[in-house]
Amino acid sequence: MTKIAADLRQALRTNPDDSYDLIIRVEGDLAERTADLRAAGIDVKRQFKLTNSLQIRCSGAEALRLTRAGWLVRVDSNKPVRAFGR
Amino acid sequence: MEPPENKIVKTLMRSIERAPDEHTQIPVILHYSVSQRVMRYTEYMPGVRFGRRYRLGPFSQLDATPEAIRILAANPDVVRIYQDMPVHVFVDYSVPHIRVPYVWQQHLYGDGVRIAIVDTGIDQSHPDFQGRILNTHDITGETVQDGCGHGTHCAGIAAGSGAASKGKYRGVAPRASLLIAKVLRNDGSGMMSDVMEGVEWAVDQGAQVISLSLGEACSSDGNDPLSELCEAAIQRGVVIVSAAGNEGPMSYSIGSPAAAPSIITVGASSDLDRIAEFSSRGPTADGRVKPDITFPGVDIISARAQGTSMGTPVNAYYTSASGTSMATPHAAGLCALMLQASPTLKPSEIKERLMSSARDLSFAPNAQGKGLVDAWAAVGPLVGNPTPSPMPEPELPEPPGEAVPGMGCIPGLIKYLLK
Repeated sequence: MTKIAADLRQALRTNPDDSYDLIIRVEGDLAERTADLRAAGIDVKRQFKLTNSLQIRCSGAEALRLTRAGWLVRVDSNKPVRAFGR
Repeated sequence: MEPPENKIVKTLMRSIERAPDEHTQIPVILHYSVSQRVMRYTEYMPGVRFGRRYRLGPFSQLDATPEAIRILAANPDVVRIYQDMPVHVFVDYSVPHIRVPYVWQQHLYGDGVRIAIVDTGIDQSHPDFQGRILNTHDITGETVQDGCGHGTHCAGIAAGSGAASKGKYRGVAPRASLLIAKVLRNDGSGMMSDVMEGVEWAVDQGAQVISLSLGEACSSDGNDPLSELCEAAIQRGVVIVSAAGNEGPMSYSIGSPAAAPSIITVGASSDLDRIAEFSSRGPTADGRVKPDITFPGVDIISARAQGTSMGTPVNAYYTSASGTSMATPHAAGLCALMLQASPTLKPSEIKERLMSSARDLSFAPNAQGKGLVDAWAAVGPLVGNPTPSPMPEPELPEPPGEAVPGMGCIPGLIKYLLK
């Protein structure tokens, strides 16, 4: 499985200074990853222990750097959802 | 011979009395005797705009002024005149339609089963939920009070007691306990991460069934953070039902989390057992068949959150709405009944049982899944397949707030035509 979808990678490359709302899946202890990311200046919004994932906000350049980390399993955009009633 | 004024049903009489003037055209359904004379008569009658004639019964639809209606009532060939009105499917129709009352006969009402509604919150003051909301969690910062109405409507379908309607609009599992996560703002929108937090909270709270009447609008292959988190929750033994979406009838319109492989993906059918046009169609982006199953989801009347205007309000406590959102909590309620009957059932067993007992509606698998659920066929074997007492044929409801003697206005007409 690829770590990042091609269209997201392209967006990060095209706009490296923009801020992105992302969900990353990681290996290892979630608390340690959170501490490491915060130390690196990345805003960690939420932890999801069911899938060992984090919601983060960072620049496109920072996100691309993250994809090189061995403990990073995958990066996805945080997408909008809505109610299905009317 | 019946006096002419008795041929005009009360609802129509009220409309005549309230008509602003004598030129107002009121939509009516005319029930005439087998004689065809009245048909020819109405086509050329002043004050009448002829609509259509029904082939299966002695009825026609037309618009008529108050005076023309009175003249028609005096015609010996006219049996009765009804007001033509919008028709809704009440929970008290949709629930019997999928044979839930047979399950209730076995004293299965969802007692003690925890259903999480992850949605727009809930109206905690609604009489239909009193004493059964175990806990709430607001992720939006708006408070858990439902300012949209969507979450309350869904909760009512899954587990409303019908207390504000003397039991008429009772949900599928009317004694189940509720966990409420507000993950969508009052405008009905939110982010995938909000839903993920809501699902995790529900799992932590001990939810046994999670109902997700929400999702993203684009096609998914199920490999996205929300779908994967739902899969992880299911692995922990929690049943999750998800709305297929309202992007039909296009194929490849199943998004996240509905595309998750183990989730129970729910499409919507109408009261006539047709797949709702809006109901999202499979396959998933990676070619798997979805939805898995179909539940009623068109014009469903259920709990209304105080002060909201979602759907078509019926009265202060109930409103009518459509969507796969409305189909999904029917499924959540039924899963709760199944878990009460057999607490050790695994999510995969519940899904398999629902799908294998569904009634094939003869639509494509990527529209209907396995078909319309049959609650009794799914639950009956869990309780030894007793012979249930005869269930009254589900009555199509009267129009909201209207009580009409005799055959019951438009629903009665529909029943007649369907027969």
